[in-house]
Amino acid sequence: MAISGYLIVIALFLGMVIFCFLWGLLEYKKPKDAGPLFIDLDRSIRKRLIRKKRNTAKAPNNEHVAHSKLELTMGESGEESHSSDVKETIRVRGDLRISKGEIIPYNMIVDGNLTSQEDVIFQGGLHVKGRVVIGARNRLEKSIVCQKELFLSKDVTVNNCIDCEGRVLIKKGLRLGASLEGGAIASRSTIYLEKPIGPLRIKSKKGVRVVGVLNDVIPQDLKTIIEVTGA
Amino acid sequence: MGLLANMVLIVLIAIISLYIARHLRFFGNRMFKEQRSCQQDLAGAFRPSVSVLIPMHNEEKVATGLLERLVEMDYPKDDSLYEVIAIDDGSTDETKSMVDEYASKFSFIKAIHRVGNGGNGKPEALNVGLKMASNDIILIFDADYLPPRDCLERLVAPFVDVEVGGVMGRVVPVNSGESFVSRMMDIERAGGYQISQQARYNLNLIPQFGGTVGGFRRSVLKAVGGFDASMLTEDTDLTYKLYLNGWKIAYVNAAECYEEAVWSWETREKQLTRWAVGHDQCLFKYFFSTLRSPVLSFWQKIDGVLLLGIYVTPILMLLGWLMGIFTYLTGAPWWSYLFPAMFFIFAYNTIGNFAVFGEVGGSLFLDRRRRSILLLPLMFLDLLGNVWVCSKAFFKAILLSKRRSKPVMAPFSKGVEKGESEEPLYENMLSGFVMNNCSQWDKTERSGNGLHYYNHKKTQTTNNEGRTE
Repeated sequence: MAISGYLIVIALFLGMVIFCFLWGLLEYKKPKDAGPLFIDLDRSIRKRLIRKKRNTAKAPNNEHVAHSKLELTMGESGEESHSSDVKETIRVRGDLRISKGEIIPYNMIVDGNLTSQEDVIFQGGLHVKGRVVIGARNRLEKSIVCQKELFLSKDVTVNNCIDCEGRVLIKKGLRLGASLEGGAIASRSTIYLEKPIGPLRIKSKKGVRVVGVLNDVIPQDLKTIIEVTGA
Repeated sequence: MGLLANMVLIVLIAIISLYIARHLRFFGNRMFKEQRSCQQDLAGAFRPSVSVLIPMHNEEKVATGLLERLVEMDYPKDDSLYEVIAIDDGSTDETKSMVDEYASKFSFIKAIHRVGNGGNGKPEALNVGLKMASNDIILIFDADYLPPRDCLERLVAPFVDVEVGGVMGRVVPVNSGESFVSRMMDIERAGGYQISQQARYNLNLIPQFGGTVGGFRRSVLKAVGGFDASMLTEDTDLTYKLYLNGWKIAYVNAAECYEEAVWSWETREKQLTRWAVGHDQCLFKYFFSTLRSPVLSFWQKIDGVLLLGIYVTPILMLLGWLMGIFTYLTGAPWWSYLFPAMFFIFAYNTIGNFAVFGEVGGSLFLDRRRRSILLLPLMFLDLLGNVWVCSKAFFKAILLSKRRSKPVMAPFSKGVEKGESEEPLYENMLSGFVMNNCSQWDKTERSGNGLHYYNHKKTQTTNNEGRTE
């Protein structure tokens, strides 16, 4: 009696194992999903952008309403130039404040906040883990990647791209994508513009808002940083 | 004796449990959390100057497929922005004339023919290409790959970030229906890329550069000394060099690219042996420097060490099985009887080359290939093969590391004959035992069926379009 009980348990176990493999064998022998995973070799980002542009054109034009994932095509925005060849990258632990008129010849990774006063030239790219306040008439010859809020004062030039995980606040007079490599703005939050800019590619997860006075939407703590640094 | 065996088993189970926790974390993150898109919103708008390197060795059946794709690529064909460098590394077939034909037709394609020193392996070929490359970003494709038109734009987008030193795209086997091996490779790769690599990128851990469909900043590559020809997996070596120097590698899941996967057990064994030996070489080289690194975070160190040891887990598994049986036979405490069973369960749930079965299932779900999930039990056969091959490879790696001071040259398994090279190919070889079957050109014997498979399957597409990226 005891032996037959064991045999039943073993038979059940074997049955389960065979059952488990059986479906796999059937799928292998007569595949309903043989693969490969389909990739359209002719797919193109440009084609997709043109399609989206058409959809955007049909959307109602209301400047003060956030357009989710608004996309416009890239256009000429100023004369093109080669960006300078910066080889060295430095990492800054903590916050960094750059004085008026400085020239920074490095790529920089800043682990804290970054603030710059007027007329600073960044010859390399920037990656900032904290907040960024860029002063008036600054020139960034490469791209800026920021993990919190980004504030750009008036008449700032960014030769390549802006990629920001937080809000982006842009005063009037921004020139973007002036280099041969091209440029665009992307944000995982909202982009606030004091004045419409373009034609230019802007992509924002929570929409783009054009506001008359930028000061109204700047958070208080960021306002304090701007006032203290004089950006 | 029995108690000692049990203690060892407990340590082994603890290590394997760490891997289980790691893979479950990846699975959960990829399936249920928000995904990082890796500057893909800027793809197409940011176009830095790019040099594409294609190392080739007897690729006549596949070379034109890739060159044609690179000609049709959505990237400005301006000489200052785009160049393709085809490096013919001592081919003995028609590869040379094919490359020359393309180079004469298109000004942005350049051909390099390595004759005297040719055939010494992919890293050396890439170093020669690197010397000739003049653009800021270096991208690498193996000759049997078929990238879509937007692939380059997607791959270069992460370089907007100055912290990113390298990038890796997703590899998808095109010939999955060719054999049992290629089918297993297909689903295994899906798990490795769609879940594991993406989750590691999301969690800011260590996504790995896989040697192809990816690239680096030229300045970074030169600063770390280029490709190390003494390493069998120069890609893993570079990954760690970059991370230990403070750079990051971005993984772009949307930059998918077809490859022709291996289709026979023999070739698979050669490939896996090379990966395992190379990976174990990196383990010996980077284990302590990863733990001591001042630039890596705590979790990056943990992930880095676990990633280095990924090809050691099969041998731990084998050891666990053997010790489980030993403790059972020697009459150890009653609770030790559970160990053999536990090990099989852990093995089944944890290892499938580099992707756990859960990850494979999750990736097939995301790719909308849900019928393929039924194949998961069959991966057990693959697992047994992996345990055997990786265990052998571990001992080969130990032999290699003991005599690492000598430069190692890796000959290819099929290709130029020894006498054709001016320098003796085997001069600095450690021994036939160590390097046998460990070739950086392990896929040189190709069927060249990539485009055939693609065109055939294109007509039946569509059940998996619209999958999650």
